[in-house]
Amino acid sequence: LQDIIQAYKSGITLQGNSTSLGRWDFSGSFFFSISTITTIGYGNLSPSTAAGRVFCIFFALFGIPLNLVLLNSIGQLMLSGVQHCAHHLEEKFHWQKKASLLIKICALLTCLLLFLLLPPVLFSAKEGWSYEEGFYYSFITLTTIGFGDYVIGMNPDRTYPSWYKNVVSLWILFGMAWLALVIKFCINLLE
Amino acid sequence: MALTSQPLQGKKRCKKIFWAVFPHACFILSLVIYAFLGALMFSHIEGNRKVNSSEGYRNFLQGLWSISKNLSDNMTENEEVFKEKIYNLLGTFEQEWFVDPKKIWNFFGSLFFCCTVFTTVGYGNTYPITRTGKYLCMLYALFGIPLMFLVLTDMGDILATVLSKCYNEFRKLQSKILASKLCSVFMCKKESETKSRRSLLMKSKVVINEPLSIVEVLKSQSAFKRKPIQYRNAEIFEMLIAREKEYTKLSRTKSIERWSSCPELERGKTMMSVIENFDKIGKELEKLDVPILLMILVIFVYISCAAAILPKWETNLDFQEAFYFCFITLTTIGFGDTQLQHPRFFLFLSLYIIIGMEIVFIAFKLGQDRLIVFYKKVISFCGEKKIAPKKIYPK
Repeated sequence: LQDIIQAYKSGITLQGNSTSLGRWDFSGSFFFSISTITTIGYGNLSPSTAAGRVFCIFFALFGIPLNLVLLNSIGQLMLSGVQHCAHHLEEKFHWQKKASLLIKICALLTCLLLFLLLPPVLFSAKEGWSYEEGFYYSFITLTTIGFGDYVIGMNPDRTYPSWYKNVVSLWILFGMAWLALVIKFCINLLE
Repeated sequence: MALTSQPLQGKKRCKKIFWAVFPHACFILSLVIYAFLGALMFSHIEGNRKVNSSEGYRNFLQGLWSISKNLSDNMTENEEVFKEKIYNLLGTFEQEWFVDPKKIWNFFGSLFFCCTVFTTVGYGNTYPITRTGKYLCMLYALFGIPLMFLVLTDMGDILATVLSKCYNEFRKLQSKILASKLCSVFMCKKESETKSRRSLLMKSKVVINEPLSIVEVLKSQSAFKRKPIQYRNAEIFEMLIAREKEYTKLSRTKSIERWSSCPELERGKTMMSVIENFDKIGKELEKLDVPILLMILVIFVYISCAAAILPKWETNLDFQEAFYFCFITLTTIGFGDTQLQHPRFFLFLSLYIIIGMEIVFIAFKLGQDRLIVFYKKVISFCGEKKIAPKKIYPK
């Protein structure tokens, strides 16, 4: 019995109904590439052929710096957006310098809400996880740990709307950029 | 007097070395302590999980039994039945039924798990199942990942200095060989001229550790690009002043060493330099400028070393699989598709893993910078193309 389960776990495909994220068709492969270049690495799908692995290595080698550049630019965009807002509000209401700190904290809390506290609601609605499990999944994904114990879109009994995958990919992108920004700020504060 | 100053000097040197190494050792030690603490916590929380045969497990076994009961003697018929029904049944499989928590969550297992958390590799062969375990995991990651990042940046400075020094030496050697070739070809008689030319050649090749002009400083300090324009001038000014201070400090330290009979001054000076060094973490890393192909070559050689050693005790991995596994680990992707038979031995390679992650980290940073330069070129090229046809030449 153990051997059968090991074989199943190592991804031997049988003809059956798995979801589109569990097969090597376009959306499954797209999700796999995203999990590779963001270094999340769920592992629900991973290359088993030698050629696939070699390609994966080169793909990651070029994709990860590309992803880092993207995350940095998005982070910069978000930061400049917040600073512009702070500047405008200061001009309008003639507040002091302390107001900019308040606005930054406000922005931080909004982003926290948007990226960490609201998505679990979406996941519990679409995946049937509890709120805690959704929160755990969001955290493990955004810090790029990516155990793979919870993965979206892997339940064959559920139907997922067409916008679901795209929204989740966008969330991963912006959420990771925001988290990287927060960590940079924390390190700057420590110094 | 001369006899007594010798052991004193040796002692001073020991002290200097100690205080130079201390901050780096401090970071690494704190990371190790953090890992051990986490291992203890997780082995206590997850190892003592009560295993009760759940509803799902019993249903699974019953399904399996009923399928095997209904098998006929015809093998081809059985195959069809197998494929469909067993696959559906296996879809309900949960890993937690078949693992003994005490076995996988012993101290070394938990240590392995903690390492996968704060390095963000996250294999997923072990993951927390209890609710407290999950919350603890998140908290652990929240503090562990920045700590790991700090250690990486700190050791990255050392590695970056080593790399750039090696690269400079290599370029010096290259230019020496070139110069000697030129010399032999042109049969230079004036030895002094060639010597000065050689030294000029060496100076032109060596870019990194010489005092940089402002433009080069701006190019290499990527931190500049992040700040808005109005702060940049102030930054440049501050940087110039800081560099001035550094130069004066250098000359000052040399003069202080002469009157080293005052031990308090010595101690104060070393503490100051230690505290100042904390601010310099990551600065060497930003100045690094070696070609990226060299970095990729270094990565491949480094991984091949491990991939050659790993199959010795992991008998089901060959070289290609071990290479893939090491690469996926060092880039922190961590699929978890390759199962290790002896995770403990992999822990012994933890120094190798940290240095490897370092090298990959540096390579990715360099890749980032190159990409940004490339994008700028492309955009300026497109921009020029758009502007050029608009030029109206006066008649």
